[in-house]
Amino acid sequence: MKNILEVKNLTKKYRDGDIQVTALDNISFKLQEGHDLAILGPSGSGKTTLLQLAGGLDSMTEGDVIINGQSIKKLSDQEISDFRNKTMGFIFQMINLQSFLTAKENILVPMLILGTPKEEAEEKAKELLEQMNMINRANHLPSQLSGGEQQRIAVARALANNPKIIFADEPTGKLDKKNSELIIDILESLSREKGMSVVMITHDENIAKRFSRIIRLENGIAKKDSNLDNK
Amino acid sequence: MKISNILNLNIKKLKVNPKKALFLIIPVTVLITLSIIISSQVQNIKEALSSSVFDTISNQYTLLTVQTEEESFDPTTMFKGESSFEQSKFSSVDIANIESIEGVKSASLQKVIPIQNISTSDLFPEKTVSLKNLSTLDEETASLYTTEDFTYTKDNPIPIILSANSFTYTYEDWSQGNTVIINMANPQAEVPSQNGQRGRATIEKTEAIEYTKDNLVGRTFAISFGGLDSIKSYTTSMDRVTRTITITKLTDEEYNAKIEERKSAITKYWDYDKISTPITYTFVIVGIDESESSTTNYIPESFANVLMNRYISNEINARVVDEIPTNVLNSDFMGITYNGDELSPSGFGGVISQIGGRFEERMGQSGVIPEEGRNVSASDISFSAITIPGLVIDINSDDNSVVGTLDNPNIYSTATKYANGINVVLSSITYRSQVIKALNKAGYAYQDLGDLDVFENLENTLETVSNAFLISFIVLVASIVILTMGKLVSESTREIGIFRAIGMRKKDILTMFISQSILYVFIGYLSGLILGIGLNFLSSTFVSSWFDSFINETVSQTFNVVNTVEENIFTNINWTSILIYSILLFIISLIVSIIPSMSASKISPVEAIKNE
Repeated sequence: MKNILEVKNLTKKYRDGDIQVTALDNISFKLQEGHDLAILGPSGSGKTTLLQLAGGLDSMTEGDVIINGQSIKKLSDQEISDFRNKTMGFIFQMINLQSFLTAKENILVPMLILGTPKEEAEEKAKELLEQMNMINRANHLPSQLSGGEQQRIAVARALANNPKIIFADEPTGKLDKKNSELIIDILESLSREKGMSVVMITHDENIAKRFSRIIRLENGIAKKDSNLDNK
Repeated sequence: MKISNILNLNIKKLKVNPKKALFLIIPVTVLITLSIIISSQVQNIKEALSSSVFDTISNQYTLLTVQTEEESFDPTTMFKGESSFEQSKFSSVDIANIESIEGVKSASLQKVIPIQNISTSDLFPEKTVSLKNLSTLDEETASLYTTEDFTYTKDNPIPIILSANSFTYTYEDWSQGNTVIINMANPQAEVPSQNGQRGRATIEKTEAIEYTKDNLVGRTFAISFGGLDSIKSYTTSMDRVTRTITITKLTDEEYNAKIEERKSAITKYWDYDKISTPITYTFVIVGIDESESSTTNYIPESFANVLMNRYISNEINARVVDEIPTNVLNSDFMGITYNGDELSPSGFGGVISQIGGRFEERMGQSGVIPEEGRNVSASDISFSAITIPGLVIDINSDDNSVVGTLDNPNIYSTATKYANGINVVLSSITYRSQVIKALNKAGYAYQDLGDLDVFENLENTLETVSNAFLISFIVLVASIVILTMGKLVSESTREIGIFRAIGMRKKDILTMFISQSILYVFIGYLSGLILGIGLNFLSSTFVSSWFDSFINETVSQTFNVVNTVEENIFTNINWTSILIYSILLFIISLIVSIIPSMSASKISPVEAIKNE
């Protein structure tokens, strides 16, 4: 089985005024294709930084991230953008739908960036809307949708280009209990039923436990990897 | 991402949140609207000026009229009988002098009509206006004064340009009784006038007549040429001891006696009726010259010959003898003198030696009245000389002696004309001050009354306004685009972060924001076009009436016939300017929008992750 994600000695340091901050300190782990992973830690633990680096949203100080066999470190900004668009899907705590686009249009965006022909993109968007039970709200603006509905659209958007790996940053952070459950169910099913690799960041132990593997982060250091425990 | 998709994104952004866009759209609309109105109306005013005013006025300002100075009566010149050339009138030598000045297109003599009595009772009710300075104007120069044809066609009223300064009439004020005493020590205080207020220390009063230019232009009226001088209806005597002048009105009998006396003198040689009846012609006023300094009235050159021919023929035909004896010529009977070269109007220039002889007898060579201790003045000369209209006296140019009458009615057309003014036409207005300086330096006094300033000022103001606006436009467009787009970008960090996180390239972000600026600018541009054209149309009424009043105020001092400017001229749009402003708008917007758009593209996708 192939490793969809390989994090090797990942370190992120930055300067905050006079102080040098180490957000991540020599993190390493691997994730197999089709598996899910929860990264658990309190705020300031570096989990967000890890997601940023893994998703190529930010640059690493040391180490490397290899996704689907491709080392991110060596890619140019444009290449990373393209790679991200094609290979990854992101779900954010802030949901981050574009406020001026309808639900359907938000889902279309990644496909348009990829260059997917319009009809094909429309088809796919419809399909995803149906999967999320949101087909009736296709033409609504995010402001007309509830938090849970918005996040479902965000999930649909993340799936638009059939990504190899989904990164979810505290996806239930802004949702109520019911919707949280719903979203976690969806994420869970993505790896279970669709064979997608899902990496989820959370500070909530209960949510983390829904995933089959947990890596605990504290102060930028991986304290515990349940995988290793299990072995 | 395809550009069409990027544009669609911008359009969707605009639809959902138009308010932010207005910060850019509205200022652009305003700027474009202003640019249309300002550049169009500036152009319209310039065109209105040039087509109506400048065609005539600026031509007017390319025309300078140099006049001779007021002559002080120097008795010595009278004796010498100098020709007009020596008497500082103008001649062809002056023409040559002036034409050699840089900036002078042409110079022509303003030839005086040598007729003494020219008057009309037709213009103003019960007032006789004397038209003292009548000169000719060639067609070319006339075209600078009026758009009407300035030629003589038989049986039609003859065009004439009148000087507003001619509109005066002289009357005798006998309201204080038939004997008026003036105290020389304080003449002003002693002479009440008609309405009880102080008046001039003389019987003969002159009043300016009120007139309305519009009522006069186009009117036809009759002018009388010739006829006999009016006989003074009073005598004057002076008392040195009491230092008073006494003016006594003649009784009717005394007056009639004088008329009879003259009549019998005339009938010896001429038919009295024929001589005493003036010739009349009908004229049409084509222009009024309201310049302060000018007193000259103009008739077409082509008519002058006709007039003089008839004037002189009239006298010849009135003769009842074959020949007028030379000893009465230029003594008992005065007329126009001809010295083989030029005609002189008053009979004073040319020969006065005959009279001079008598004068010398009386006054002595010094020309000073010993008792009075002052020089001779014209009013001292109480000749019984009678001026015969149309009489031309031939004079020997060497000794100024009378040869006889000159019986050639066409003499006017061939003689050198006496000119009291020169019309100087400039090559262009830009030479005006230069030429005026040169004229004054060369000894031709010309006072620049500077009416031109108003128009120059207006033109300069228009230029300044145009240029100032252009510069402001450029600066404002640049500032507005940078500021609004800068603000927009800084408020869009999350949006950009999201797009970048999903995989949108930096290039596409750049394109997105540049196209967003252009989109908003374009919307502002379209609204500005519509609004500008509409408001320009509306503003045309205001500009039109401003222009009318501007012209009326300034033109009143100048001489011209102003064509009514078409109302429509002020609705015109300056398309060329609009094109230029449009190009400027888009180029500047494009270039300037790059800066904030570059910042936008540099925003990191990490922004999407940030929690509020």
